[in-house]
Amino acid sequence: MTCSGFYSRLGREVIDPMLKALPDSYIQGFVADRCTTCDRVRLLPMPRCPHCGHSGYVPVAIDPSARLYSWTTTPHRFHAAWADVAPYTVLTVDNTQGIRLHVPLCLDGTTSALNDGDPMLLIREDVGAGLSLPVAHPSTAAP
Amino acid sequence: MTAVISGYGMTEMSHNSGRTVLDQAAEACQQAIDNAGLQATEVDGMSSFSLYHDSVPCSAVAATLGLGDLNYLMDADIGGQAAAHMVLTAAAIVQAGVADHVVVFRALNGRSGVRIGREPDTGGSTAFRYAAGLLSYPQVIATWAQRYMIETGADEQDLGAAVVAQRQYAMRNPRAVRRKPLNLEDYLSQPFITTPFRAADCAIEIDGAAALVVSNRAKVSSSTRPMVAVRAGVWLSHQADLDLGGSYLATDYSRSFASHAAPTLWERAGMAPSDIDIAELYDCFSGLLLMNLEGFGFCGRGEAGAFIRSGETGLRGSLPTNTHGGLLSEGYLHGMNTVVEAVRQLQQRAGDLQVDEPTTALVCSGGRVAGSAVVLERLS
Repeated sequence: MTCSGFYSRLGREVIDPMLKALPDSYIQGFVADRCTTCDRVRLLPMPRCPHCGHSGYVPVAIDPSARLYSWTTTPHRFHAAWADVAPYTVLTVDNTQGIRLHVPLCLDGTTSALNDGDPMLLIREDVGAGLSLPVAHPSTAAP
Repeated sequence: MTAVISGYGMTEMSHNSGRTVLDQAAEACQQAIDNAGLQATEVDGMSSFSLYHDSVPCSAVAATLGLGDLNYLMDADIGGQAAAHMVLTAAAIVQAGVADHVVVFRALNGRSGVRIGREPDTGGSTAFRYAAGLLSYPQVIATWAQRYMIETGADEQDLGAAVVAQRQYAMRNPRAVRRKPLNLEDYLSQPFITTPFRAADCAIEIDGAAALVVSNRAKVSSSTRPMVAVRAGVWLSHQADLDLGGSYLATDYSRSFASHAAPTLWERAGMAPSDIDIAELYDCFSGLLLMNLEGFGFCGRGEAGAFIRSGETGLRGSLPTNTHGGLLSEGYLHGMNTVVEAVRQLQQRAGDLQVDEPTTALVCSGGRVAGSAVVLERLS
């Protein structure tokens, strides 16, 4: 599968603050936290599991297979720095581990035929310095 | 002891006030105090809310107005879920005997100052959604509206019905910022800003301030206009996130907090939706108005669009709703103007927009995961 990406069209003035604000584990390895008590996986950096309240966790790779839950396509330029990618589509997806993520649709992807439950593949787009951010691409394989 | 809303005040709403937030807050609060027939020194409590610190603290307003000793003060940085919550909390404070007169206000330069969606990165889940391109609240709520439409079969005609119905009210409201006539055809001809929302689906950000006084009924002059009691209320946080804009932990984007809070509210009020004469419902975006109408049980799931189209939410309908034009058209005072409108209606001071002798009102604030609601009742 090819994916020419999304973030490559954004300037460093957008990318760099974004990377600074995100957890290293997310941008270096696309990793989340799995609770060692209830095994639920959480995306957000939280000191305790939001499902069972326990504090033990281990890193776990985020499964790239997901299904489409919702989306919005944005022609409006809410921020000037994002003008080069407008219009763009942001998907809300649920992956096989039950993680809900918002991810931009790869610019190769269609914006006209999205349907509830569509299989999506989360692809890590290289944003430089060995770091990556996920984009979604329609998939033919069911997760 | 009964807590009543004894007075209200509002500044002009505008795109550029040319004034400080403090100045506007002081004006609205002074109006409310005067409207309640009180002296500033009688006020002994104050509360307010902000979003990402876009307002001024209560202590600054209290100092400006020359209030006396305060027995209660609360600044809450929780955004749009707060307006009814602040009224409910003030009522509880009054009923507990902690204070006799609590001024509740919201003030901001929401248009000429810091606009929502341009707030600084506050960490938590914000970093994740910004990185995905969800840079503003319209985009975040759009994903909720899209899911609502998937689940219920609602469509853009339903969103448009909500927008057009409220504009009908706003056209007769001299305070409203959006008063230009708008029909469904006009609405549908507008371009999307972020699907499924057009600009008209989004509240109009403004500068301004609104305030209420919540009082111990026994301490209010009998010459005051019809008293409006705070009969019951609820605040609910359902699957909240690490920050106010996040939706990572919410499992159902198709229902607002109203669906989860309604049973408790109706039980506390000892009422049913059919007992409510007017509804003033939070509508920062059209989709949330539909969810709130359905969530509180005023119509069935997925039926809000048809309910509005049938005229039921109009001035002569069974449930006049957002009689000021809502946040969509009057202006985005974060729902405090919506509470004021309910009081105005119950006191029968709504002028051309007056509903025929309403005695009960439901007011809600917020959408998505957290929100609040109060049932207000005109006392005889």
